[in-house]
Amino acid sequence: MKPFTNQDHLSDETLSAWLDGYLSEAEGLIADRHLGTCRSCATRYAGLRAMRDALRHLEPVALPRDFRLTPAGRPKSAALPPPTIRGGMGPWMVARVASAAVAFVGMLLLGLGLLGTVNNHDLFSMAAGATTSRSATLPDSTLSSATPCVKYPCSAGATQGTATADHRPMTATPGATKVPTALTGVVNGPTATLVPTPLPTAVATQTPTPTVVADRGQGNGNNSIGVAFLGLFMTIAGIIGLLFARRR
Amino acid sequence: MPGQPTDHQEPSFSDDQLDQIVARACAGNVEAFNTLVGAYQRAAFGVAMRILGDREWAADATQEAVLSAYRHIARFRGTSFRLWLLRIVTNQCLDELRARRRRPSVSLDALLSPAAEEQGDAAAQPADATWDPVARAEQRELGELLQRGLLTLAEDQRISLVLCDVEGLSYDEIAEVTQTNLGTVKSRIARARGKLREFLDRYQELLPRPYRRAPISDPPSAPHAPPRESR
Repeated sequence: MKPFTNQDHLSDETLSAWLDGYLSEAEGLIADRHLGTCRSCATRYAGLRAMRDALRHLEPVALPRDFRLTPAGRPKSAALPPPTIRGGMGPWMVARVASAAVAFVGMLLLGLGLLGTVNNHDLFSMAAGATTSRSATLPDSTLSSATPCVKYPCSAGATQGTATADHRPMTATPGATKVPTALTGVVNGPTATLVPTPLPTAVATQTPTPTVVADRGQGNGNNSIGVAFLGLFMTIAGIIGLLFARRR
Repeated sequence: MPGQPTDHQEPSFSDDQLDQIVARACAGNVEAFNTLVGAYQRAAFGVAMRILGDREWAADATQEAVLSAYRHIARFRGTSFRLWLLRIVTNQCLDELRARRRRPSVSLDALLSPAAEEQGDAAAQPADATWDPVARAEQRELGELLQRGLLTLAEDQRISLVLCDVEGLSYDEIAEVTQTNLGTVKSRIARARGKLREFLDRYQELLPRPYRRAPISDPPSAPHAPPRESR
């Protein structure tokens, strides 16, 4: 440390360090000798010392309140909001966790919904395959009859596509003797089977009635789409909540 | 005074006792933590008060610092809980000052009750038969002037000077609290004293006689004392 200023007086830093006893022995000797001869520096030094003494003897401030904590780790003063204690979560942390949970559940539902929709599309293709094999048995003229006695419209959704996968009304003509079998469409959840059922001769000469047995499949497509939309909504809500709580 | 804590006396511990209390506090024991806070809350609030210059503000900062210390007590690895707490307090004060710079505001308490500090000081004054009201008034006047002067200093200088001259910490302890080196501490304290002295020179007429600057032509009012033991 440079003990002197350019004007051959002790620098403020030297005087301050001398006051607190932080000069080296050599620097202390120089400062001591200089203070004995330079009234200006001695006056500055006396002023610094008086000021330090005044600061040291400032009246102690009274505590406005007790800063200790309650056993639960909260301030004793009720004026303050409850703090986050170690190992616990603050309100914003709770919001973040809740948002993340909502987003997670939403993504899960979205995935399940989409999966359900895809599976129902698989149902279409299965139904289409079954129809093709049935077409080998049933003459086209029969299927394309202008006067259907049984009709399965395809507007109700994917599960009804079991019988109408080719988007044509499936019909059977009364008195069609060429049809030896009736088709029994069994829709059972995500899987579907079309079982050719041998008919008795007496029945075969009568109206071959394609029977569609809908077990649980009715409305599954709508449900899947609904679940997917719910999942999408929850995901978006969760992400928005996360972004909002993250700024706090 | 209602609500005024009655057990503000700082307890004294042996080193062994202190180590045990610190160990229990680090393990999450609130009672042990409170024992430490009870021991050092006066110093913590005093530092905050001198740095911020407002009782309510300083109280809030001190409470926040205590809570922060409790939350992070497991991280305490230092040798002195007192210095660690003071470090948290000074950091909290710096945060408060920065926040105040961004959103300037005036303490409602300071506006409504300008004598709040006076009341606080009066509460701190013990009932004493030898108490001199004139000296007390001079002391208070000087204290107010010094506080105003402290608030004119740069924040880092103010913190260093408060820790050194008000709290009586050594340069090494100040370096630990402010996370700086010894040279920086020396420099900050010297500059702070120089500026505070300049500030006080402008209010010579308000200073009590012992603190007025003597004319240069006069001999020094007091011979320079031998320096303290070098640390």
